[in-house]
Amino acid sequence: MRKTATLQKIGYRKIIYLLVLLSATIPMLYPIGLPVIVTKQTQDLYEYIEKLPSGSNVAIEFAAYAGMYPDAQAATRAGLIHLFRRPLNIVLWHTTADGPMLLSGEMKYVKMGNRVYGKDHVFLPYVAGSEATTAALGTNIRGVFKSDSYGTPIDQIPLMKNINKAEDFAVILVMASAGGNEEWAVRQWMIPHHIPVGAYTISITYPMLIPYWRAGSVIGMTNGVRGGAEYEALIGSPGPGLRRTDVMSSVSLLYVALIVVANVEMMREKRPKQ
Amino acid sequence: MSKTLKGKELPILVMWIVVLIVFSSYFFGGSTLESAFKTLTVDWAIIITNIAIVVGSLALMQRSITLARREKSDKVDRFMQIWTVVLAVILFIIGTTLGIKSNIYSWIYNYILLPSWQTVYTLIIFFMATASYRAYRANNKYAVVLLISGVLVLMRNAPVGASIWSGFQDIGSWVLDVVNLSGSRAIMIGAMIGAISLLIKILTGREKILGE
Repeated sequence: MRKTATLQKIGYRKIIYLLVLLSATIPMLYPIGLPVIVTKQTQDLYEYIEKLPSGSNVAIEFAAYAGMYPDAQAATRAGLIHLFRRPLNIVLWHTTADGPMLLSGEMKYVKMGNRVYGKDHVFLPYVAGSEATTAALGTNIRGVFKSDSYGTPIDQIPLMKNINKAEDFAVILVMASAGGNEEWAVRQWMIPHHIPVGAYTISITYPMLIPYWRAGSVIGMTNGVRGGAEYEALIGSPGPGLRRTDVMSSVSLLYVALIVVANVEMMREKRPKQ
Repeated sequence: MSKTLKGKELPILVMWIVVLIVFSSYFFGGSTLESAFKTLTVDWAIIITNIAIVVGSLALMQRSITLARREKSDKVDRFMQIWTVVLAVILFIIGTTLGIKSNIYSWIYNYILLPSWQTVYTLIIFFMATASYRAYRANNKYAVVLLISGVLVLMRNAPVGASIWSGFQDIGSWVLDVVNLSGSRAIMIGAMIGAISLLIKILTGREKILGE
C-alpha cells in the first residue's frame, strides 16, 4: 500500500491554518525590518509627482472599497502625504460610496501646513456611473458636480474657477481602486485628452496595468502593500506598508514551503513500490 | 403597441439611440451631443444605480427572511439572517436622517462594517495557503511552467525574496513585464473584439437575451 501523505493524514487544513496564523502574527510581534527594493513602476510614479511644477492641478479619482482597502491603504496614505506635501492643487472625487469615510480616516495622517481648503485643494462628493462618469468628467466637471462635499457650489470655490475639464489638469491619479478605474482613466482621459494617468493600486490590478505602463499610457503605479511600502520608503514616511512587509515575507515563504512539501509528497506517492 | 413592448424591438431601439449618441459625441462633439451624452452617462447612470441599490436591498432582505423562516436552518443562522436585515434598516434610517458624517454612522462604519469587510478579505490568505498546497503540483509540463512562474512572482513581490537571492527580483519582474504583458495584451484585444461583436449582435437583434 502506498504511503499516505503526511499532512493529509493529520488533517492538512488545520495544520496549514495554524502555520498561516503563526507566520502572520510572529513578524507582527517581532518585526525584522527587511529592506524593500523600490521597483521601476513605483519610482516612476514618485518621480513624476516630484517633478510636477508648483501650482499644477492634480485630479484624484478616489475609488476605495472597504473590503480591498488593507491592500491599498499604505500606498494611498503615502500618496496623499506626498501630494499634499508638494505645492500642488488637488481636486479629488469619489467613485465609491465607501470613499468619503475611508478618505477622512487617511487625512488624519496628512500634514496640511499652510494649505487652505478651496484655494489649493477641493473634495468633491461621491458620484455613481463608472466609466461613463469618468468620460463626462473629462469634458465637463460642472455637468457632473454642482457642489463640493460640503455643499458649497463649485462656482464659489476659488480653485475651481479655471478648472472644468481634463485639459485643465497635469495628471489624473487613481487611488485605491479594486480594478477598472485605471483603465477608464486611460480610455477616457489619456487617449482623448492626453492626460497622463498614475495609479496607487492593489496587487490584483497591478499586473493588468503593466501593458499600459510599458506603452506609456500609465506613468507609474504601486503594487498593493509592497508598493505602499516602497512609496513610504521613497517619501521617508514609514507607515502600514513597511510594517506589513515582514508579514508578507513570512507568509510568502510559507506558501513556497507548502508548494515544495506538496510536490515532494506527490513524487513519493508516484514512485513505484520497491 | 403592446406586442412591440413585449418584443425585442423596443430594447433594440433604445440601444441604437444610446450607441449613436455615445459614438457621435466622441467623433463630432458639440454642445447638444455633449449634453445628451452627459444626460445618458451620468444622470441616467445615477438613476439606474440608485434603483438597482433599492431593488437589490429589498431582494436581499426578502431572501434573508425566507432563509430565516426555513425549518432546517439552525438558531445561529436564523439570528444572523434577521440581524443583517435589522442592521441594514438601522443603517438606512441613520444614514438618511443623521447623514453619513454623523458620529453614530461613523462609529458603526469604522468599528463594525470596516473590520468585518476587512476580516472577510484577509481570510483569503488561509485559503491561498491551502490552495498552494493542493493546486501547485507539477503533474505535467504546463503545471511545471505555472508553478515556476508563480513561485518567481511570489518571491519577487515578497521583500524576503531579494534578500535570499537578488535574481528573484529580476526574473520575477521579467515574468510580469514581458510574459504577463504579451498575455494581457492578447486578452485585452480579444475582449474588446468580443465586446464589439456582442454590440453588433445586440444592435442587429441576433442576441438571444433581448425579448426571448
